[in-house]
Amino acid sequence: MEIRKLSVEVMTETGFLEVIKDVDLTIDEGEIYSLVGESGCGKTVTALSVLRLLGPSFRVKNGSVLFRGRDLLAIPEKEMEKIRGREISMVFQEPMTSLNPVLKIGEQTKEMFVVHLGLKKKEAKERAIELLKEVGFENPEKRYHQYPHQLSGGQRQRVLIAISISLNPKLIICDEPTTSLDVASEWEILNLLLSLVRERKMSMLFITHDLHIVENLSHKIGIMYLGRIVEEQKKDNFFKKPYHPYSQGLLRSAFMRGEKLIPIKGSVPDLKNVPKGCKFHPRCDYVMDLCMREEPKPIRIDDGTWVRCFLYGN
Amino acid sequence: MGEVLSVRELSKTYELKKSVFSIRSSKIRALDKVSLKVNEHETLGIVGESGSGKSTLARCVLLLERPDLGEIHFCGVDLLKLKEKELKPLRRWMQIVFQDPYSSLNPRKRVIDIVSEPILNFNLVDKGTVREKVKDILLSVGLDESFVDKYPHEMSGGQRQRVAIARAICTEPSLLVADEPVSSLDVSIQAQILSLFLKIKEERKLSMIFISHDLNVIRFISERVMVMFKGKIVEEGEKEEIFSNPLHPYTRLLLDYSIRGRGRIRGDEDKEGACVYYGRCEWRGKRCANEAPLLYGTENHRVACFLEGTY
Repeated sequence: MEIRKLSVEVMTETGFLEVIKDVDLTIDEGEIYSLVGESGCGKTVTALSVLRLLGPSFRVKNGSVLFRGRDLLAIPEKEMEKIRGREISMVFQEPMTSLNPVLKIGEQTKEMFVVHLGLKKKEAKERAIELLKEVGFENPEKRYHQYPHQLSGGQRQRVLIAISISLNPKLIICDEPTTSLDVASEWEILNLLLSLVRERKMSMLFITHDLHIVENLSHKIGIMYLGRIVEEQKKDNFFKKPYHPYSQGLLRSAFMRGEKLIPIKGSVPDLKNVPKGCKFHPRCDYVMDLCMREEPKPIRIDDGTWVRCFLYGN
Repeated sequence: MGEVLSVRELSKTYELKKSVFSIRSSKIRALDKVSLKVNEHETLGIVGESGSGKSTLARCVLLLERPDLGEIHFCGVDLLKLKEKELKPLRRWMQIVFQDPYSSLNPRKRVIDIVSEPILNFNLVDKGTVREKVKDILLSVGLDESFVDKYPHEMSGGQRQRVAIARAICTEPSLLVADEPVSSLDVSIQAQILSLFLKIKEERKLSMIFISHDLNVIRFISERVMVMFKGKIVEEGEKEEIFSNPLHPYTRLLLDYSIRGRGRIRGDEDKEGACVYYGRCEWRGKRCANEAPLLYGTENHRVACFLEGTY
C-alpha cells in the first residue's frame, strides 16, 4: 500500500482545519509499519482515511491511497465495501465498545463468513471455532457461546483480531490495540499479532504512542507531529540515531535514553493555533529563523531514512 | 529519618453481587494484610496491574474509604481511632492527585476557585490575599497568571494535571499520594509532569506514595518500591535492589515486559489457600498450592515466595 501526499481537513465553526498534511507512507508486503505520535497528531485520521471511514465532517483535500494498483479514494463505495475486511481490515483501540454486547462471540465471529463468503451456518460455525482457536483460546467451543461481558479486555481484543483476520486480508491496520490493557495481556496480544502477521504473510500498519512497543514490533517507523510525518526510518537505525528533534525528545521522554528524563518543553498546540513554519519550532531546542518562516520539506538522508528538518541537508 | 506513615495489616473486602437482585454475593479481597511505611522525604512507588489493589490502598490510607481491618499511623496518630470530626483538620497534611484530570476537576469552577477552596477551608490565609497565594502556587507548578481565571475545559490534560497538583500542595501537606497521575497523559507531557513531581518533592520536602503500572515511571520517581498482586504485596524493597535483583517471579515478569519487552504468561486460575500468584507462576511447586508465603527478608528487600530465602 502506498499513501501519497494525503491531506485531510475537518470542518469546524471557524472553517476548515488541516488535520493531516502531505502524508506519504509506503508499506511493502509482509512489512510492519509503526506510525508513532501523541494524541491528536492525526494517526487515527490517517488510518481511517485509508479505509474511507472518516466521519462526515472530514474531507480529503488531496492525495491518493494506492493499494494493489488501485486508488482507494477514487473507486466507488460498492467496491470499497469489498475491500474492507477482505483485503484491508482494522483492529480498534477499545475492545469494550467494538463488540456488540448482546450478541454471542460466535455470532459475531461467523458473521464475516456468512456475509462476505456466503457460507452455510454449520460451515461458518466450524470456521469460526477454528479461528478462535488460532488466536489462542484454549476451549473455543465454550467461548463461541459466551457474551462479550464474560471475557476480559485481552480476550475481547483477541476476538476482534480473530474477526479482522477471518477473510485473510493482505493488510491489517491496528489502532492502539493494547492501550487499554495491562502490561501482561498487552504483550500477549502483541505476540499474537506478530505471529499472525508472519504466518499469514500480512502487512501491518501499527498505530501507537508507545515507543517500547515499536522497538519490539516494527520494520519501519514514522513519527507524526501535528498532522505531518516528520521522520521515517528503519527501526534499528531509528533507535540508534533519531534525526528529528521531536523524535529525540520523545525517546528521552519515554526513558529510552537511559534513566535520565529530559522532557520536551511546551505542549502540543491545538489545531486552531498551529504555528507557522515548522510545526515543531516553538518546542524545539535547535530553532533557527528559517524554521519560523518556512515549513521544511522531507530531506532524504539515506535509503529508507528521511526527515522534515532544516538541520539536515543544505 | 522519621516515619510519616506506617500502615499495619490493612485489609479491605468488597462484596460483589451477581446481579442487582441476587441474595448471595461473592467477596473480592482488594487488600489482604498490607503493611507499609513511608519515611520522611521519601517516595514509595507502588506497582501492579489493574485490580491489584493499588488504588484501594491509596484510598484507604487517606481514609477516603474505610478499611475493614488494620491500623494506619500518620505522624504517630492512629487515624482509625479518630472520629470524622477529629480527622478533618488532619486532612490538610495528606493530599491526593488522581489519575484522570478530566474528571477530578469540577468543570463549573475556575482554577482560582479550585485551588483556593482547600486554602480557605483550612484558614491558611485570609480572603483578601488568597488570589496572590494561588498565583504563587500556580507558578510553582509551571502555570502563569493567565491560568487563574480559566475553566478546566480551556486547558490541556497536562495543564489540568498541574492544577490538580497545585490543589494538592496548596495546604502544604507532608504526605502526597499520587494515583497513576501520568498514565492518561501523552509521552512528552508525562515526562514534564514527572519532573514536576520530583521538583515539588525536593522543594517542599514531601513524602510521596506514587502509584503506577509503569515500571519505568516507578524507577524514575521512587526510592522504595512495592510490587502488588491481587491485593497482596509480593515484593518490596530499595529501588536499586528490586531492579537489579528481582526475586519474585511476578516482579521478574513485569521487568521482562516493561524494560525488555518480552515474556510469556500462563492462564490465570484462583485456588483457595494457595499463593496469590499460584495460577500464573512458572515455578510453582506443591507447597505453593496449599500455603500462602509471607513476606520474608530484610528491611532492604522482602519477598513473599517459597523459592527464596530460608523457607
